[in-house]
Amino acid sequence: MATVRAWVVINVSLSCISIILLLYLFGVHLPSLGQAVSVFDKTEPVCVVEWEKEFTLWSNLDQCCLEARKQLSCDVEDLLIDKNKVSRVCETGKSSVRFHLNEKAYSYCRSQPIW
Amino acid sequence: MVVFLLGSLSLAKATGLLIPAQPGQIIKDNVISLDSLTLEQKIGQMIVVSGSLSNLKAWKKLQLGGVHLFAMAKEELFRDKIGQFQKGMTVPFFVTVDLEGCQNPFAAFHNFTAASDVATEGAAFEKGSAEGKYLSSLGVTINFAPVVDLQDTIWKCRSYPGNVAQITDLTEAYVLGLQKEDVVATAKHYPGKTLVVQDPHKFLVAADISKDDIFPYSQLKPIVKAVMVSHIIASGVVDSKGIPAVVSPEVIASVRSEYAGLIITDEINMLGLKNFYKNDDEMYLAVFNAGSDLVLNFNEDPNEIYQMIQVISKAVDSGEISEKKIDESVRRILLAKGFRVE
Repeated sequence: MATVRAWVVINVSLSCISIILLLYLFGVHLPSLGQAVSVFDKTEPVCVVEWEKEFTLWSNLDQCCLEARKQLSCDVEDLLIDKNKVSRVCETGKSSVRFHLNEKAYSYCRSQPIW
Repeated sequence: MVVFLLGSLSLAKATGLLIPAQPGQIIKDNVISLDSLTLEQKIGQMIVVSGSLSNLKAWKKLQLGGVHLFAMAKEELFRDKIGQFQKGMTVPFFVTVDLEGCQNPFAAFHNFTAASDVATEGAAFEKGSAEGKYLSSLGVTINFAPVVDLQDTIWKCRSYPGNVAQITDLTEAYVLGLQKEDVVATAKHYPGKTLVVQDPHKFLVAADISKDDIFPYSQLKPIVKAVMVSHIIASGVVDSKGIPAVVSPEVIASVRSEYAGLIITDEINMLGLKNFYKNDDEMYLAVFNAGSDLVLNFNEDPNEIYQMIQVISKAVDSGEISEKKIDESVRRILLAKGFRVE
């Protein structure tokens, strides 16, 4: 038999879920986990384009996110490119262009409506 | 019980089940009358979305203009997805891809030469022809290529090599090869200089446009069936007057001048564009008002796409956006899809 305290916890949790669902139904968007991670991570976002072993830093993060999104997969990696630590590589095949992102850039991209 | 009800409603909303379906389109002898289409159907035809199967039903209900396909692991997956989207559609979707430069959504199983490695007009024509044959066999109808930017200091593989005259000749040959196979080519990104390294920390990209930058477009206009306009803030021979080119009526008018093909926006979920507006609704109005025919919105939320249609529909009803302009765009789109329009 559940205690009174357990019922209170259940009811408060259900109320919170109801409020979140109601807000969603009425078009109020709460920040996603990706957005929250992106806000609290104070490092600079990094996107590097790689073509035939040549690496170029790309400052247009939104465009980078779109191009990374177009790739087949974004896998974990651990690489240092021109003093920039990157942790994800988005690519489709070895003969195609590749995008290296650090965790800040990747979580920002994941929080975008196109992802 | 309340949570279950709200949960079910939220799930229905998230999957687009609450979006109302448009009525069936009437086509007789391959002829579509614009008067037979609802305003929402017309606006829907002007939108290209991301071709996620999770939104298949929503996109079909809205009878949108096109779906853009990202990379997949196998050729069969492309065929299957395109088949699912086109099944039962009276007016088929445009199926679009980015097979350009060194960007290849088929790279997991099919290689193509990068644009930067193409040196002769013959090779460019062959490249266009080979890509056109392949895309056509899959059911892809528009390729967002060739890149006509004169310089690419970021990717280093998207632009064709050479000076302005050589780049123009190579892209023209590529367009002829691609379109020979019934795939629409798209010269991009008007008015140029979108692939040049900019100041870091800036979402807004500005550039001084020269006569050379727009020269290829003037040569390609008689043959290329689509032109894509970028979000760059242009000054010089093309002046967007401090706003992104894609929302500048003057810039779109400069493309439209002596050009009967499709004008396509670059994808619109970019801070370089969004930062100019208080909210997305205002941005949608500006994009449609500027005069492009096809708007790329890869937002994965079907409710947001429906919202865009509603915003534009209300703006047309209130006279803020001219229905004549919408009709002209839809006419161009339906003609490009192979219908006759009256």
